Amino acid sequence: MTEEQMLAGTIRNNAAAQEAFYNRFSPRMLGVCYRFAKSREDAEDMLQEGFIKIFTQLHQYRNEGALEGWIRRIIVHTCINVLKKNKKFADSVDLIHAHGMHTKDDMVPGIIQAKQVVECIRLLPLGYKTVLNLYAIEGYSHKEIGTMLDIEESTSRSQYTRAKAMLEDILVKKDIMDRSQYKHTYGKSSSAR
Amino acid sequence: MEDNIHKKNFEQFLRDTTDDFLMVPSRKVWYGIYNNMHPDRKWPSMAVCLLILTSVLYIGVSNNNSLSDAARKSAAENLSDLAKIYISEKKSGSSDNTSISTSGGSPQFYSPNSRTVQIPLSAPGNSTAFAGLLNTENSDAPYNADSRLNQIPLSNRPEDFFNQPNRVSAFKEGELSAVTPFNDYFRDASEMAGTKQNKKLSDAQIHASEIKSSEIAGNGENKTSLTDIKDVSFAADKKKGDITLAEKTAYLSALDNERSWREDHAFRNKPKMREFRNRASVSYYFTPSIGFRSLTQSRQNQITAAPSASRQAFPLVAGPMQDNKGFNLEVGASLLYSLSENVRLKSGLQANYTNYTSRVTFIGHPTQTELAVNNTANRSRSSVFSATPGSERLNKSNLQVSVPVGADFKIAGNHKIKWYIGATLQPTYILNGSGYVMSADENYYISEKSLLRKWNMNTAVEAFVSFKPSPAVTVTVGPQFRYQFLSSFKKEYNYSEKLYNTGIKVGIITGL
Repeated sequence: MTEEQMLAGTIRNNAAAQEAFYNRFSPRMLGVCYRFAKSREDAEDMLQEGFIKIFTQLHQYRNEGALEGWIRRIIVHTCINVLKKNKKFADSVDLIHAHGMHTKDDMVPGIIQAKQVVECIRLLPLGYKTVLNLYAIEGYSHKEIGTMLDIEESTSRSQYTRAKAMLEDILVKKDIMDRSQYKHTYGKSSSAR
Repeated sequence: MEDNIHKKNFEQFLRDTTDDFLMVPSRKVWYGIYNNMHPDRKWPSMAVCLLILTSVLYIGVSNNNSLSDAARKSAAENLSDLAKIYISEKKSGSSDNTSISTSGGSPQFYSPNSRTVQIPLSAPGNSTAFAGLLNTENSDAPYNADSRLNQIPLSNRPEDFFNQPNRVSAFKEGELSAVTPFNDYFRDASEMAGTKQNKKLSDAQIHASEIKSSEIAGNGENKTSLTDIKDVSFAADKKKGDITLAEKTAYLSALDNERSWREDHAFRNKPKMREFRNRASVSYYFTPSIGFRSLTQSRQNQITAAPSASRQAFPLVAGPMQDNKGFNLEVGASLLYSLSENVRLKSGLQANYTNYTSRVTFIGHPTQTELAVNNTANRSRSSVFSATPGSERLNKSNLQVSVPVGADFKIAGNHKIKWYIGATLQPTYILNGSGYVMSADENYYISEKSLLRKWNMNTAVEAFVSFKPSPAVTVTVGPQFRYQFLSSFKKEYNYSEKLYNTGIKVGIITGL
């Protein structure tokens, strides 16, 4: 089934096309949800809700940009809405006072590569994690993040700075990342800060 | 500027790393999406479930796999030593001895059904011997405070008996005879041994059995699919592009099939008692209701008035002018056994109090009248109740014992609230009844208990909602209609009376 056929069938509410569509994009989207969620069960709930929205709104997709990018935006918005609806922001450490938290060495599970990084991101406080996911990985601007999370743009910037510093510490402590090494890999080498 | 470069490098690192991160969701996510997008497709499935109900009943009863030989051997090896002693004694017949001898010399006895030991504490050594054995603080054990017999409550927990060396040594050293004290202890121990056997199963089997037991237990039901796939990430050692999504899906499918088979095998090969307990539950209920009766004249026995009696013009069939509804009550307990997620059998014992009233006039002195039986021989009887509607209310009550046998069918619901419909057939024995019948001339009410039918058959249909206020208890509430098939009276009587009532049934379901 080609992508066009799959898309057309999904818009027509064809179950087989929907399942093919779901099987194709769900693994990556669940990874996106997992970075926002507190647990795997929460991530699957977000995924389910997100895909229901995708199937009901797929007729609005206008072939402007990649389909996966469009799906990803809906999934991210769904994750944020679920977090806000469940009052996760209120119950967890709030954005302003999260800077006092410290992560312990044994909080980072011993798994390798990408999942290590994702698990380290999930260790962050909810507010830090959300801002970091939205800005650094999903590519939203601080202004957009402020609108989505009902916070000030300056708050988003400051929280991202703190989140990034905390995550760097975790990744370096766990030997997942070497500051000097990734500077060499991803850009011009520079003197250590 | 360096900070900006640093920031962009870090963000790029995060994006590149997390882009490889994939997680395969469990199938229940897709089922949830599918049901939401195609809600109309549920109804044909429900119709098919109803149509194949009888085959499900047959398959559920006949499809009980026994333990495999390996599992039996493993279970036997895990029995505690003392349980083995009991089993060997049981086979040799030595455990049938019901006496327990104490160091004091005088033999005492126990009653295995009541779980108490009648021991005079004044006997030397008894207090020492039994203080460690008997747990007097166990609130679960039945306690008979008959100080004359000095009965002592006993612990029902095998760990209280086996897990303390002093108690075991006291048992072995002959302060008591080497006789099994109570069957219940060793039955519990065998069950404990059965749980030890479960620990030898793989984690998947244990997890599956726990999931399945909670899924289909009568109480309740945390729905968890047996084919849940744990998260697997594929951003492992392979380089980017080496593993395609199809390969990943095929791998996970194979893993899923193997896990499903293992979990299914574990479920079907659980110890029978454990599987029975997981599927069974007990329901306690009561049903306050309003009772009515229908009265018709038997066509075979046409009433003929006694020549000397004047016949008053009251209708044969007692209607609203004469009969009033009465308060009825049903109390019972039943055992529920889940054949599948949607069907469960039930049977139990219940007591019914049926009642309706007739407005009569109290005469104040016995009046001679006749009772027509089979229209052949009229029996002479006396009566103090005139059938003339008056200020007195004549209670026509029955006390019954029934054995309801039937089934419940789940028609809708989730893990919190479920809707059921149910029906039972109730062979009924009438313990006692007022036995008021009409006289031959229909002018009086006569109490003639010999005409009461001792055995009857009732049926009840109900629809109820069940919900779980706590994990261990399920509450059921719903209307019930109960109808009596056969007449309350024997065929000799000229009239056929059938009782029916309608009320609200309230019940509590707990596990075994």
